Amino acid sequence: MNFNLLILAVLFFVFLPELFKKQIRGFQVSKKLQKWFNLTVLLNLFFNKVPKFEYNAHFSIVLGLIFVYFSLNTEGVVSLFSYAGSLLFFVYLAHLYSNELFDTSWNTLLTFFSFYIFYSLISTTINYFLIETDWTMIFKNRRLLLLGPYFINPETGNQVWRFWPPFYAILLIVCSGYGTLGEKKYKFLIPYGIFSSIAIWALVYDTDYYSNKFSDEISNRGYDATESLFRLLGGLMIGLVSYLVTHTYCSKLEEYQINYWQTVLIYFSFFGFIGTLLILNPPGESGVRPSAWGGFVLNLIFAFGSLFIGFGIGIVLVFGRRSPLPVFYIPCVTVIELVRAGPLVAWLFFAQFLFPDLMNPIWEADIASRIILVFAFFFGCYLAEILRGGLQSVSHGQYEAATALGLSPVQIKLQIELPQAIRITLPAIVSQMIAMFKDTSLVYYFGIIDAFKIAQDIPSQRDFIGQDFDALIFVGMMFWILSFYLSQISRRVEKGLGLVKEGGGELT
Amino acid sequence: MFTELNSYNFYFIVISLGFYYSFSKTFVYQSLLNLTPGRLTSLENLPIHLRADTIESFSIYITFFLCAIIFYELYNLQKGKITQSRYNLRIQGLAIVIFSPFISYLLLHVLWLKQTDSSWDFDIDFMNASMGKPLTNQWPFDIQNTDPRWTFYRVGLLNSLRVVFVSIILSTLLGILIGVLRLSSNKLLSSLAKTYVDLFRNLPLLVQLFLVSVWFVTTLDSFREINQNNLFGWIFWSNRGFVFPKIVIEEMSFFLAAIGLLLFFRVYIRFTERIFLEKSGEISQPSKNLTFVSIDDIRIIIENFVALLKRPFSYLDKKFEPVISDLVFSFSILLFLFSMFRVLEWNYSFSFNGILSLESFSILILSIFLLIYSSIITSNLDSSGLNTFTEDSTLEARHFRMQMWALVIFIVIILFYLSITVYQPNLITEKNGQEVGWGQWGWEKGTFERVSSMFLTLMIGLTLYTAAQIAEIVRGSIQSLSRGQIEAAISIGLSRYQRLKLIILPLALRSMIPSLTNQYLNCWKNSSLAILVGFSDFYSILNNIVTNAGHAVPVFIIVLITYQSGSLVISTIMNYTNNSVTKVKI
Repeated sequence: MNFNLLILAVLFFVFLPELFKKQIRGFQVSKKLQKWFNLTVLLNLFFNKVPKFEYNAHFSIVLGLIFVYFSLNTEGVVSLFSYAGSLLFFVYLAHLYSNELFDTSWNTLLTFFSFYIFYSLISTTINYFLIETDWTMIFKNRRLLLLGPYFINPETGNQVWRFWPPFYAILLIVCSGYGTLGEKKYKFLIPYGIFSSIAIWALVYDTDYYSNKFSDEISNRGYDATESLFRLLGGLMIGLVSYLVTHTYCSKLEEYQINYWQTVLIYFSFFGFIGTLLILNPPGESGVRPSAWGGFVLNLIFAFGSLFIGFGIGIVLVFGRRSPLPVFYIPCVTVIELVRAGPLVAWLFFAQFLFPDLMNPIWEADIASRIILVFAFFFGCYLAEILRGGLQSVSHGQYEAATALGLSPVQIKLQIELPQAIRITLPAIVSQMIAMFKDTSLVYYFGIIDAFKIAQDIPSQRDFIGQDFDALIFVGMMFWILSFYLSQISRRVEKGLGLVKEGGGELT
Repeated sequence: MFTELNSYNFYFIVISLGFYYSFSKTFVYQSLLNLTPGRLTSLENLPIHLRADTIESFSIYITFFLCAIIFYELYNLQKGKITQSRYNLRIQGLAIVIFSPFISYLLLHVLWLKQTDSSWDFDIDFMNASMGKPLTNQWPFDIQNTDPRWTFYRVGLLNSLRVVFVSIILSTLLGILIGVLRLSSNKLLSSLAKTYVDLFRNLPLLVQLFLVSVWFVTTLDSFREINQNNLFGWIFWSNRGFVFPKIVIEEMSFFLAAIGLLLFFRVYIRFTERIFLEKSGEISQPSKNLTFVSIDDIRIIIENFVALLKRPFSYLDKKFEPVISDLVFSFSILLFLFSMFRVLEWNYSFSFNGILSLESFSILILSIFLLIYSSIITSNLDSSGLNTFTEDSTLEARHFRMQMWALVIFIVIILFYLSITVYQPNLITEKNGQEVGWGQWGWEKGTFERVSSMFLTLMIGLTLYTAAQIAEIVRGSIQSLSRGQIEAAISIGLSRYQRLKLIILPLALRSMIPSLTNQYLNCWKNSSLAILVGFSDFYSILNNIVTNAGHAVPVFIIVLITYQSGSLVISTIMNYTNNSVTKVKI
């Protein structure tokens, strides 16, 4: 579709008179014609009769996107009609906001320019994601991407039962967390329903698995989808039930009691993580050693491990740094400045080559355990710096009042200063958490088979040669979705704590 | 630690001491193992002789002894009745006792590793040996395979600095633009900016770099079609990178004359436009009269000397002092350019054998000092009020100024034309008079400048990622401004752009700078991802050295020191900016 011609036409007939009506002096335009030179009035003429509901804008966006999809997917007259239809819906959207979009001529120009960019982006994205790309490669390899090659292998794949208890625990914690929020039920149930149906469909739909190793047969490689289906359904039921129970229970509680249950959930998640590690690799002979873990869950394990262990390390370091005694603050300052001096890649290099030399007589650590430790130290040192700023903002009067009440120093630190500091610096902490989660993709360089490495290896399978870009984009999207979700959560939490100040934003 | 000793505390201490015992026994055992004779050559003369079969029981005894000491100390400290300073000392001693197994293990084990494992050898002699491995980015150096490793390290360092410098500048501009766009009242534009920020902030940097590199490889044509992919034969692009024409300054004297003309014109304009207010030019004189010499007067002499250093031309008339300082500043710039070109020889082959001849390098250092000193003098003059200017806006004066500018620019253009030569990149398609395949085509030496696609990948990836972070910071700092300032700006009739440039951005800068510093440090450290893209920055070169020659620990220490120095330089510059921006108290 020649979009450029359309833009040129609009510019010529609608926008130029807008520009010139100020420049032309002594050129009296008739009143009726002047109406046409004003875009707001023009749009009003056309769309005046459309009734206004609450979700007008949302519907017009969705319908416009659907028509864009059809215009790209079909050909000929149908394509032309759907193109015109999509433009109609977007013009209606412009009418809804025409006061802001078309008030000055500069604004009008910017609107057209940005709409052009938006439309090109949307059509390119829809074309790439829904029409052009063949996603069978990703779909066939979805279990590999998620779990890694060890748990896919038919000989060792029966160990995958170890992942189900953590999955139940995660669903329980997340759904109970949503239940304690006390919002309207449909706000959670609709996305949860969508998530459940996508999960069930992805599990069940086409379990023929294809791989380079068994290149002559397409089989399901010993993977029985029905058992997993029952487990998945059970897990989703647990999530639903926990949400409903916590929702009904918390709707009758005061806020401080809800906060108490949320703290309980956080402690439960910490122990759940330790339980995950113990289930995956119990001490002794049975179990899966950490170098065999892989896939996207490995990225999650690295991220959560670094978060939990790093929180402990960070709290110890920050209080050690603030101590007046030299035996405590000199080592803490040294450690913090040393760890923050180098990039994460350098510290992972340390974990790979130098750490085993140091610790081998005592602890023969797996590469994955070493990497979790290094991630934890890295996050801990950054957290120590962030919390140091937060602790400095807690007023000294709190410390004096607590001492006057007779609290011991440990109690003051943990129960008075630390909660206030975390509340103040919560945006920085959450952004650092998200950055750590994104940085877990770096481990592929050290021979660990995480989601990123698998995404680079999948296009070498016999049927899917040459599709490197698609695999990378898919893994990027996986990371993106989780990071975006976490940042939205953090925005909600900040709003809930009253940390968002909107001062000069609107007027700028 | 505990306020009273009851049974709960007692069992808690005992159980935790039990865990500590089992944990530290191995550490004590390992430390004692390193003390047995025949193990550490550096400790041969110790009077301790531990037989290898006794260290097992010794470790049990020593660990138990440590636990007993800790228990006794904790019990005593809980009783109270000691002063705070004594308590501090005792608890520090207790901490040292608690951590002594681990510290001793670390020290002795590192000593043992130093003599057995080659990667723990703290010697850096290996850096003088030759490397024997090619690089991907060599501009502007001509590296041979036989050059010592320090040369490679310097090349890599320069590569990193180039990438980070360009990325920081571009990402700041882009980030401020997008951060301001995010707050636009045009809903479409702000959603566009929001999309950009949300997209690039949540994608891992590694994924972005890979996507950009794959995009480069697939979009740019191969070297075979180089003859179709050029801009009138001056700029060429292929999947090996971009090739630009080479700009060489052949006649140094004309170039310096042009720069000198511009600088002197600036001095002249400042001279004609300078006005002298009542109080300008006053120096705070500590004391003027020296009647007799004493200790007090030595202090006065020193203060006079320092004041003279701050404004060395203060004995001149008020009219000429700023002119002389401006002239010194211009002269220092010219000297700097002259010595820099002498040092680099301006032909992009930076061989390390003869450039550091003392003459031109020392003039370079002298010119840098002179530049810094003259800027300090000028700023002292500014703060004493001698550099206030007024512009004569009558018609004749404006015509005169325009004519002078036209004349100066005309002369400068002629001088540039005489001094600078631009070479067109010349593609050599034949060898020994015969046409060869495209795999053997090359560029004639001295006619081209290359920007490799890996440099572009890293630069584009870093810029997009850092710009998204900076946009969020800018948005946050603008949103935290007080509405009153902006409403006042609206009420005095400033346009939107003037509002932004004169009021909002300067105010927002005050709160932005610490977070901006953090992002710049992150950008500097993220440049280490060049190793995953194939760009030879210094981290990847050092990584190659480790895989080639071992010696991991000294190389690791060099890595840390380099990154820390770069971070310190960036922090110092940003600290200086912070101080200058927050001079005014709000």
